[in-house]
Amino acid sequence: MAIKHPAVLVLLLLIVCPAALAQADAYQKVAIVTFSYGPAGISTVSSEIQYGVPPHLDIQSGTLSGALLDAGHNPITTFSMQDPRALMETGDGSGTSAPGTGSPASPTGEFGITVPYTPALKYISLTDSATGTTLVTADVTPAVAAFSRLYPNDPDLLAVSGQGAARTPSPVPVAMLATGILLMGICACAYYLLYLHLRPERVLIVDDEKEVVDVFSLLLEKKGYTTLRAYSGEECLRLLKPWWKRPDLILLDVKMYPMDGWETLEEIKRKPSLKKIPVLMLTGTAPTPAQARKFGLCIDDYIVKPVSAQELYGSIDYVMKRRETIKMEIQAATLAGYEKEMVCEYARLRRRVEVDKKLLGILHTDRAAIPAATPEERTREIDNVQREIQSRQETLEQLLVKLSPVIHPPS
Amino acid sequence: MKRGIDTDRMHRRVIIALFCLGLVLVLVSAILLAFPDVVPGNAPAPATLPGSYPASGSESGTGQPVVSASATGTVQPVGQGPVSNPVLAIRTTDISGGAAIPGVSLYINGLFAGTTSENGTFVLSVPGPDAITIRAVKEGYQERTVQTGANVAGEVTIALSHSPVIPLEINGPVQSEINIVFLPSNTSYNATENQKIELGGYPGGQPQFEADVRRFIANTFNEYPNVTSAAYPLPAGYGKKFNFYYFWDNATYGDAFDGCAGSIPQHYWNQVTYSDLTIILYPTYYGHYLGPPSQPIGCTKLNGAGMVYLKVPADSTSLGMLEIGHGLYDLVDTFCGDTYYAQFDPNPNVWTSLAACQQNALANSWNPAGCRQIASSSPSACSRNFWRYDPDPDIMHDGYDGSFGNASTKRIVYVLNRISQ
Repeated sequence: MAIKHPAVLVLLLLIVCPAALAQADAYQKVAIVTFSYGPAGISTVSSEIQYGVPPHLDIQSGTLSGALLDAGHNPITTFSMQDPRALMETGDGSGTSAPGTGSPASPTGEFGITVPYTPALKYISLTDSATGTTLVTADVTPAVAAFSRLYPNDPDLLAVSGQGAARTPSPVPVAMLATGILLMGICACAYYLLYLHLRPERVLIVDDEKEVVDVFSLLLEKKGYTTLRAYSGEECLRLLKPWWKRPDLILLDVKMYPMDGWETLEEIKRKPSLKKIPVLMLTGTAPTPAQARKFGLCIDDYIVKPVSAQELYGSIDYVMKRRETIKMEIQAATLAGYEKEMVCEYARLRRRVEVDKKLLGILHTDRAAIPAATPEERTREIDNVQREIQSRQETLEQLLVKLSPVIHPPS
Repeated sequence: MKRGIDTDRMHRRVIIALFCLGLVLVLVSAILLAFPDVVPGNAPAPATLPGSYPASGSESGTGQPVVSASATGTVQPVGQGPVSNPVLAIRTTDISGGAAIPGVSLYINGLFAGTTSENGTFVLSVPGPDAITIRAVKEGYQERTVQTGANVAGEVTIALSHSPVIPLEINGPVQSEINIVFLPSNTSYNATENQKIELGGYPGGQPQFEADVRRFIANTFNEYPNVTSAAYPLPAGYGKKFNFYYFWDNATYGDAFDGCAGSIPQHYWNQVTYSDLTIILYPTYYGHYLGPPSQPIGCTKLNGAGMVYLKVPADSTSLGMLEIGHGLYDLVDTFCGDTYYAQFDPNPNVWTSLAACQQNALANSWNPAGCRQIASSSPSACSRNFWRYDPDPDIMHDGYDGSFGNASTKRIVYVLNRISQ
C-alpha cells in the first residue's frame, strides 16, 4: 500500500541557472591574416590580432582546408574555403545578351581570412583538400606578441604566459552558486523522500502483549504495510518523536500498564504534530460511555479483540479511505468559499458520528462494560449516548444540506 | 475547528523556504557571474560590439595605429620622476559635439577597469610609471584604444565616434547569426563607354542607401520561399538566422569597379570582423555588359572566412540572388562560359561527371534524366566537363530570371541549417 500524492510534482530539483548565460565574451579576439599568391605559391603577408567577433567558419566549403593550430601543430579548429587562386572572381553579365564571363584568374594577388583567436592559437595553415599538400602556414606568434605589448594584462594572454589566472570569476559568486545548488538539492531530496516518495503506509502497533503485536505486525506486513512495534504507552510516545518516521496510523491497545491506552491517547492528541494521526483503539471490552464521551473525538475507530485479519484490514482501509474522503471534501468546500468553521465542524462531526455509531453498537452487545449499578441505569446510559449521537447526527445532516453542492452524503 | 501548530506543515514550509533560499542564491550568483561589472573589479564587461574600431597597431600597418594620448594634447604629466599615487582621469566624449559619454567600458592594458560615470569620467590610480593602454568600448560607438606616455597623470580625453555599422535587422547575437553587411560603392559603370563613373559618394546619401539596402533585402533574402524548391523546405523562421547591417561613415566606400568584384578598404575588415558576406551595393549599371573589356555587372570575390564579398547593382535583385548564391552558399554558375566550376560537396549544384549527377539524383529520388552537361551553342559553342541538374530557368544560369531548383535549394537549406539558433 503506497502513499499517494496526486499533486503535481513541483520539484525544481536542480534548477541551475549557470553563470554561462548567453553573453558575448568581453575579450573575444580574432586573427586577421593576409596572404599573397603567385607562381611560387602562397605566402603570408601579414597577421594581426585584435578584439572582435569572428565570422562563422562553417558556412563555406571548398577545395582548401584551413586549420587553426596550437604550438604542437595540432588542430584546434578546421574549416574549409574556396581556393582564391583558382577562382579569383566570377563575373556575371547580362543573361540576355551574352553569357556571363569571368575575369581571367590573376596569376598573382592577395586574399585574407578572419578567424577566431584563442590563446592556444599559434599557426594557421591552408591545405589543398584534394592532395593534402600544405600550401602555407602562417605563424601568428609575432602578431600575438604585438598584441601583448599593447594589452599586457589581457586575461587570455596572462593565462598563456602563466602570469595569472584566465578570467577566473570572483570566489564569492562561485561560493554562492555552490551553496545554492547544494541547498536546493538537499531540500528537493528531503521533500521527495518525506512527502512524495511512494512508500508503504506505516502502522504503529502498541500493545503490552508481545504476541498480539507480533501477530498484528505479521498480518499487516503481509498486506504490504510497514509496521512499528511498541509494547507500552511510553515506548509508543518515544517512537513517535522522530518526525521522519511518523506512522500513518496507530493501533493502540486500551488495557496497558502503567500507562493505559487512554492516557497514551491523551498524550498523543496533546501534541500538535501527532494529533492528526488516526488512532484505532484495540480493546477486549467496550469502552464505558464516559470514556466514549471523553475520547470519542480523538479516535477513528474501535477494534474489539479478537479480530480477524479481514476485519483488521477492513477497519484500517476504511479509516484511511475516510480520511482521504474528508480531506477532499474539505478542500472542495474551502475552494467553493464555504466558511472555514463550518467546514471544520463538518469534518469533525463526520468522523465522530461514525465512531459513535460503532461505539453504540459495541455498547449494545456488551452491556457488561457499562459500570452501572442496575440494568436500568445501564439502559439509561446507553440511551444518553444514543441521544448524543442523534444530536450530532442532526447537526451533521444540517451541515450536509448546506454543503450539499460540494459534498455528498456518505454512503 | 481550532488548529494548533501543524508541525508537519511547518516542516514542509521550512524545506520549501530553504529550497527557495537556495534558488535565490543560485540566481544571484548567476547574475553576478554573468554580469560581473555589477560588482566593480570583477570579471570583464560586456563584449566588444559590432563596429569596433581597430584596437591594435599592427606592424604591417593594415590597421589604424593606436593613438598616442599625448598627441591629443590632453595629457598633463606630473613632473619628473616617480609620483606617489598618481591619478589619471579618463574622459570619454562624443567626437561630434564633445558631449560626455557615460557607461563606457575602459580596459587598462587589456584588463577591465570600470565604466565612466554619468559625466563621462573615470578616475584611476596609475598602475605604474610605464605607458598604459586605454581601450574604450561602448555599444553604438567605435571602440578606440589610446596609449599614454610614461609617468602619465592628469587627464586623458578619448573621443569616440559613432559606430559606422548600422544595424538594420537584428535577429540574434552576432555570434549565432549569419551576418550580412552592405557597403556603399562610390562608383558605378557605363558599359557603353566602358567607363567607370565616379559618384563622389552614394547618390542620395545615407537615406537612399538604406532604402536601397532594405529593398534589396526584401527582394532577395526575404524572397527565398518564392524562388526555392518546395521539395526542400527552408528551415522554419529562416529569416531569423540573418542579421543585416550596413556600413556608413561618409568616408568609407567600396569601389564596385576596381576589379571584378570591386575593392574594399582594409580598415573595413578591421572594423567588421564578423561579416559572413559583405555586399558592395552600387546604384545602377548603365548600358549592356557584352564581355571584356567591360566590367561585369555582378561579381563575387571568394576570400577566406570573414572576407567574402560581392558587388551587385541595387536595382538588380535577381542578379543579387545569383551572387549571394556564390558568396554564401557556394553555388556554382550553371551557364557555360569563362567561369569557375567545381563540385562543392555536400549537396552541390554542379557535378564533375554525368554519373555523379545521376547518382546524386537517384539518391534524392530525382529524375536522373534531368542531369545534363553544362554547354551552350550560342553565341558560340561552349561545353564544360561539369553537369547540372536544376531545370531552367535556373537563377544560377540566367541571373536575371528563374528560381533555385532542387539541387540549389538543397544546398541553401544545408548552409542555413549549419547555423543553429
